[in-house]
This record gives sequence, C-alpha cells and structure tokens, in this order.
Amino acid sequence: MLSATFKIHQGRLFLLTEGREIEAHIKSCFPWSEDKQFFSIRDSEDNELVLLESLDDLDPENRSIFEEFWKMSNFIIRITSVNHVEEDVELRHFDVETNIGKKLFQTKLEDWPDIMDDGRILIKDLSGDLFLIEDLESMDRKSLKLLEPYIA
Amino acid sequence: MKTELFFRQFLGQEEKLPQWIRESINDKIILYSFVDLDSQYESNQQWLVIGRDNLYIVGKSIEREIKLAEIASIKESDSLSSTSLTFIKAHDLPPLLRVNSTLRQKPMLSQIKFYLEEIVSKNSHALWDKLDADSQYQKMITQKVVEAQSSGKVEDRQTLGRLLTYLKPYRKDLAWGACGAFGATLIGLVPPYVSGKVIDHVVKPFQDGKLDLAEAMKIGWILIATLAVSYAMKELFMWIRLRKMSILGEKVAYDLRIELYSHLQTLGLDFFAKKHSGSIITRVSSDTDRIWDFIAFGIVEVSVSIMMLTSLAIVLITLNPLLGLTMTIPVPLLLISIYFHGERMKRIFIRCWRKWSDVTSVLSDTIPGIQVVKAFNQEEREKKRFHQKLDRVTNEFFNVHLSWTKFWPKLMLGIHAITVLTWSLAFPKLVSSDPTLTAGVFVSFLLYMTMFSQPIEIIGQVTRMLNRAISSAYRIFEILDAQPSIFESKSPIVLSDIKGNIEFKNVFYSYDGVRTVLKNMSFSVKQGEMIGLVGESGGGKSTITKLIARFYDVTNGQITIDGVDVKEIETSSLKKSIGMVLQEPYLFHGSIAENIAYARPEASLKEIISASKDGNAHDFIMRLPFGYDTVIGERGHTLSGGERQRVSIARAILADPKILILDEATSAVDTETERKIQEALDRLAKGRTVFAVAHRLSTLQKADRLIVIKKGEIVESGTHQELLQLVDGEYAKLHHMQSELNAEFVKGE
Repeated sequence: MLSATFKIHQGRLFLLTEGREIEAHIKSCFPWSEDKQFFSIRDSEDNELVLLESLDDLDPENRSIFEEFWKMSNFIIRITSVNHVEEDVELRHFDVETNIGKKLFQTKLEDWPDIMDDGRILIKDLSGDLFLIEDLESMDRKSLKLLEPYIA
Repeated sequence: MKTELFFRQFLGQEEKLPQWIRESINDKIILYSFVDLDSQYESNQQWLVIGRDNLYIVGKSIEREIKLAEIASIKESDSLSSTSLTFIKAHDLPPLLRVNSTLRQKPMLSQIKFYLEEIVSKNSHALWDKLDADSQYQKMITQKVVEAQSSGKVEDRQTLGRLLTYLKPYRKDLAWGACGAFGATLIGLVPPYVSGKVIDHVVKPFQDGKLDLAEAMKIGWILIATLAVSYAMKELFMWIRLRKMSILGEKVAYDLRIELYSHLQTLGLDFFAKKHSGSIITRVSSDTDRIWDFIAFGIVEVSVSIMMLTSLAIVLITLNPLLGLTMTIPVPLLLISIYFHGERMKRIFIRCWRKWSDVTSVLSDTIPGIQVVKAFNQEEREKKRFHQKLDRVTNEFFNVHLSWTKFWPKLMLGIHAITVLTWSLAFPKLVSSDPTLTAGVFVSFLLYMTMFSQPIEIIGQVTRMLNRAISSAYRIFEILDAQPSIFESKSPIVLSDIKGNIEFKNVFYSYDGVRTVLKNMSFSVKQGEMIGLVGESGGGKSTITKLIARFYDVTNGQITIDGVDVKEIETSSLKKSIGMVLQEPYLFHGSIAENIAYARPEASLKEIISASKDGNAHDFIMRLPFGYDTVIGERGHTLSGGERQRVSIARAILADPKILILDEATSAVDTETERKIQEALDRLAKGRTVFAVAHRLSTLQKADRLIVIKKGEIVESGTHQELLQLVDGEYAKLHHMQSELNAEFVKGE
C-alpha cells in the first residue's frame, strides 16, 4: 500500500506525505497501452513524487479520489459518429459528433489516424487535441464508410 | 477566405468576442479566449475576457469578475487533450478561478497567462497597448491551420484564373496550340464521314450497276485522297498542338520556378522557420511539374474532349436522329459511372497512400539507423516488420488493379451494348424492302462510335486533374504571396568601408509580436572590440546577433552601425561587412575550394590557401585524396564536425568581414579540435568587431567585455575579472558552476 494520501481541493489534487501537503498532478506512463498501471504522481515543477505501479496499491478511499481526479486530467474527446471527412490542400477536415458535442477539426494530409493494438483509433488534430474512437463496431454505417479509407 | 467563414467552416466557434459581451463589459478589452470545457470537462460556451483592470468570465451573462490586482500567480497545466489555467491569489488560499479548455484554445490562454504575468512584473506595457484583441485571438486560434495550409480553403476559380494569367506572354503559342487541338478534332470527324460516302456513293451504286467502273474509280480515288489528306491534316494539327502546348507548359513551369526561387531569396528567416525545407523544395520541383502537365495536356485534352463529344453528338443526330440519340443519350450515364469509379479509386488510393507511408517510415527508420539494427542483432525483426507493412500495401495495390480491371471491361461492355443497340435499331432499317438507312451512313456511325470512349475517359478524370493542378498552383502562389519581412530602404546608404562601431538603443524584439525576447536593450561596442554574450539558453543572445545581421528588424528601438540605422544601410553592403561562424556550419555540395570561396567567388587560389591556413584547415584538406578539389556536402566526402567548422572559419576569413559573429562555434567538438578552432578564431577575430556567443565560458576569456543576458535583459556587463568580483552575480555563479564541473571531471580522471 502507498504510504501517502490524496485529497482534492478546489479541483486541485494534493498529495499528503511525510507531513507535507504537495499539489500534484498525474501522468500515465503508458496512456494508451496500459491505462490501469504505472502512474507518475508529479509536483507543480513536474518532478516525480511517487510512481504508483497499480491502483491496487491504493486503499479504497484514496483510489476513489485518485480515479476522480484522473478522470478529469485524462480528458480526451470521444468521437461517437462522423458527419463528413474532406480532403483539402494540405489538410484533412473532420466534422464529427463527440461526447462534448459537434466538433470540427483538421489534421495534416500526411498524418493518419493511429490504430492501437486493442482496436481503438486515435486521431490527433493540428492543435494537439486527441479524438478517440473507442468502439468502431458501434458506429453507424455512414461513419464507417467515411472512415474506411483511413482505418481499413 | 473571410475570417468569419473560416471560423464557422473549419473551427465551429465564434470568430470574435460577441458584440453583446463587449457592450456589457465597461472596460477596455485587452485579450480574450474562448473557454470550451467546464469544470467537469463537459462542453462549455464561456469567454475569458481580460480588461485593463478586471478579468471576466462570461457565459450567458457576466458570471465572474475578478480584479487583476488580486491575481498573484497563474498556473497552466496540460493533460492529454485539455489545458487549464488556475488563477491564484495566495498559496494558502483556494484559487480565484480555474478554466479548462481543449488544446485548440491553449495558444490564446497561454497569451493571457503571459500578459497577466507581465502586468504582475510591470513590464512591456507599451507593447501590449498596441495589441488588437480580435486579431490576437484570431491569429492564435488559426495559426496551426494557417501554418499547415497558409490561408484556409482554396478559392478554386481565383487560383485557376491566376494560373492562366501565366499563359499571357505566350498568347501566340497558345493560339497555335488551341488551333492545332481544335483542327485535329474537327478533321478527325471527316474520315468516318468520307468512309460512309465511299460506300453510299461509290461502292453501292457500282454494285447496283448505277455507276460505271471509270466513274466509280474516279470518285473513289477522290474520296480516298480526301481520306488520306484528312488523316495527314489531323496528324499535322496534332503535331502543332503537342509541340506548342508541351513547350508552352515548360515555359510556364520555367517562369514559375524562376519566380518562386527568386522570391524565396527575398523572404526573411521567419518564413523559413515556419516551413519545412522539404515542403518548399516540393513546390519548386513537383508542383511546377504538375502545372506543366496540366497546361501541356490537361487544358487542351479536356477542351478537346468536350468539343469532340459535342461534335459527335451533333454529327450523329444530323445523320440520323434516332440512331444519333440512341448513341448520345447514354453518354451522361457513362460519365456518371466513371465519376463514381473515380470516387471509389480515390478511397483506395488514400488507403494505398496511408499504407505506403508505413512502408517508407520503416525505411527511413532503419536505413539511417542500420548501425543500431546490426548492433542489437535485430535484422530479422526489421525484415519481418518490413514484410508486414509491404504485404499490407501490396494488398491495397491489388485492390487498385482489381477495381480498375473490373470497371473498364464493364464500361466497354456498356459502350458495346450501345453498339449492339444501334445495330439492332439500324439493321431493320438497312434490310427492308424500303431501306431508310444507307449502308454508308451506318458505317459512319460505327466509326464515330469508336471515337466515343477516349473523350469520356478524359472527362471522367477531369476533376482529379483539375484538383491536382489547382492544389499545386495554390501551394506555389502561397509562397509567391508571402511578403518579405525585411525591406530595403527607399534611399539606402552604401557603407563601403564599415568600421564596426555598433550601438543598441532601447531595443525591443519579439518574434511573434507578443513575447518580448529582448527588452529595452542598450549598449555600444567600439570597432575591434570582442564582446562575449553569456547567459542561459533562450535568454536572447542569438537574437542579438541576428538583429545585427538584419535577419530580423527590431520591434522597437534602433540598432546603428557606424552611427547609421541598420534599416537604412544598403542590404548588400551590410551583409558584406558581416561574417558568421555558427555552431553547425553549413557546407554546400561542391569542392572545398568552392565552399571556402562562397562569399568571394573571385578569390585567387593563393587567397583560398592562405585563408585555410589561418583557419587551421589546410593540413587536413591536404590529407584528403583530392585536396581542395575534394567534393563535400551532400553526396560528397564526409567531414567531421571540427573539419567542417574549420572550413567555415576559412570561408569567413576569406570574406574578410568587419563584424564577426561566432555563435557557439566551438561547442560539440573534442578538446584538441576545440583548441585548433580556437586558434583559428583568434586569428580571425583580430582587427574585427566580434560578438561571440558561448556556453563554455573558458572560450570567452579573451573577450574585451562580457555582456550577461537574462530573460531578454542585460543583467551584468564588464570584463571577466570584473564580473567574477560581483558576489552573487550571474556570471560569477555560472563560472563557479562550470569550474566545479571541470574540477569534478579532473578528480574523476
């Protein structure tokens, strides 16, 4: 078990360890290949405070706090359907529906969606925003047809 | 494209702060940002507005108002796909505010953070007052798209129209080419017509006994001669067309290449910093090639095809309305099927392209890194990886072939079906007691029918051809439209004998118009003085040297050389007076002698050797198999880092500049090489005004004066000894740190 405790205050995460309260944030060591293990708990200067190998190392209360904060800091836009994809000079335009509403974004023509080992598809737009397709099979036929050249 | 349309079509957010918010806020709006995520990371429609005195959070109304004076610090934190700003009043108090956004809004939020921090530290107010909040917001939000594509979607008509203006100087050639094309098309219609006439007016009357042999032979020979002449004329016109248009295409491509390359030479370093060199090279090479292809063949092929189809339809309907309509009505259907086939092929080509890029990425990984592959014994793994990627792309190539080989026979089957239909309609008219169709007309029909497929195919490909040409033209015009950031003064002053007295007067500089890299910098340097520029990375040392060389112009203030503003000095005389030796010297493909004489191609061989000796380069050059004639640079002999540097020093010595800039010239080389380079630099520096940037302070000990730069400001200035005596001084700290490292190194040995 980890000998430190977490607390969330005003939307900020704090690590209480050795009598000190340090503002912290979480970075996953393997954000795509292993999102349940190996988390780096870091201070505001981005120095590692603790390396958490597994969520099982946390007691239920700390685990719940950790997961609550992780959910926020692990924010990613999830595509639910695709309305339109268009190739343009140097750019590919996507018009998609997501968990946070309709989104328009662009990628470079030479940048392709990343198909992960578990079948999830990740698209990084020009701004660096990440758009995830978690379950391709659950998408409608039109979306699949529009995405087909980029993922088949 | 208009900003409003750009935001709506590409970004799906407002192009500026809504008017009602401006009216609700009773404050001068300095900056603002859209806030598209709420505290729970759900979709949000708020604005963060920075006024002169307050910060506002505005949703459907003004929801929060915080005095700027209350903000002590701002924390910016990024997660996978979001960014947050936390506004803090005091460390032990809850934050005043936290805003979350997607990364698209990050550049603007970072600007706001930077601005507020500047306000807190009371710096650079003058620069901020000039900013326009709307243009800042628009620039920050669109900059990634603009960098990738320059200015949004192509205005097709404008681009095409502009491309066609390049044909103007060659109107005569164009007229000849067009005449050739149209002449060949029209004459191409004659042989089938004449063939029909031969049958109807010679063969059949003769077989029916209505025409005697002599008359039949006479008419027959005339018609055969007409056929021969029309074929010859057609090929003559075709020759005129091909010759004129292909040469014309080359001329336009040549003009574009010359204009592009000349324009590139006028552009500032800021332009090249934003564009990948590969992308620029492609525009001068492949894109101009595509334009040639379009002008030489595209324009004419498409016009000729449209004309051919129209003429065929007119001729056929005139010859026999029923058969004519039978043959022409299905044509649009064929065109539509070609269009859909094109769309399908486009999707397959995208897959090919994507998978092919996987193959090339394996190659570009492993070929340069072959030493690592071999060192770790991973040849088999790499072979397997390559096989896998190649299998995937080869399967897509198979799909391409499966698709087109399936389509074209189907299309031809459609054309044949029209032929069969025409036959079945024509046959009863040919073979009847009262024939209403002559054999000759029918033969003409059959011959015309064979002319249908090619123009249909070309028109089917027109969209792709046009898109490729327009996108290439667009990419070329993007460069031609880029404005040089450095302009020659209207009445430039030629300084033929620059002494090298330099003065910075209250110089401010910002690369992006917002973040000030140099802040109110003033100093003067006398001719022949050696100045060492010291300080942390990113502090502004190299920027100072770039401003002296006028790669950029100051944002505020003035830089003078011998009392004359650098902006007023004729660029050529300024550049001749400045020499640079950089950390990573660039040598061109060519002989060593050519590289040394780059700035003075007229230099004698003796001068080249003398400069090389002074640059400590002569000895190693003479050990090379071909001495000064050894070809170096890309595809040439490989020199070590130290050797390249000594060639670049020899180049600078031969150029004999009055002002010399040494930017980390001795870093990244071993100690012995450093000693040789330093010797060469000492000789080079004699009698010149020198600015030397270096992290290794030992290399600056010969400097007459050291200027210590921190965050764009001069924090200390003096000789090595003077600065060492400043207790807690920046230079003393740096020197102490480096001395300790050296001592540890020696102890370790």
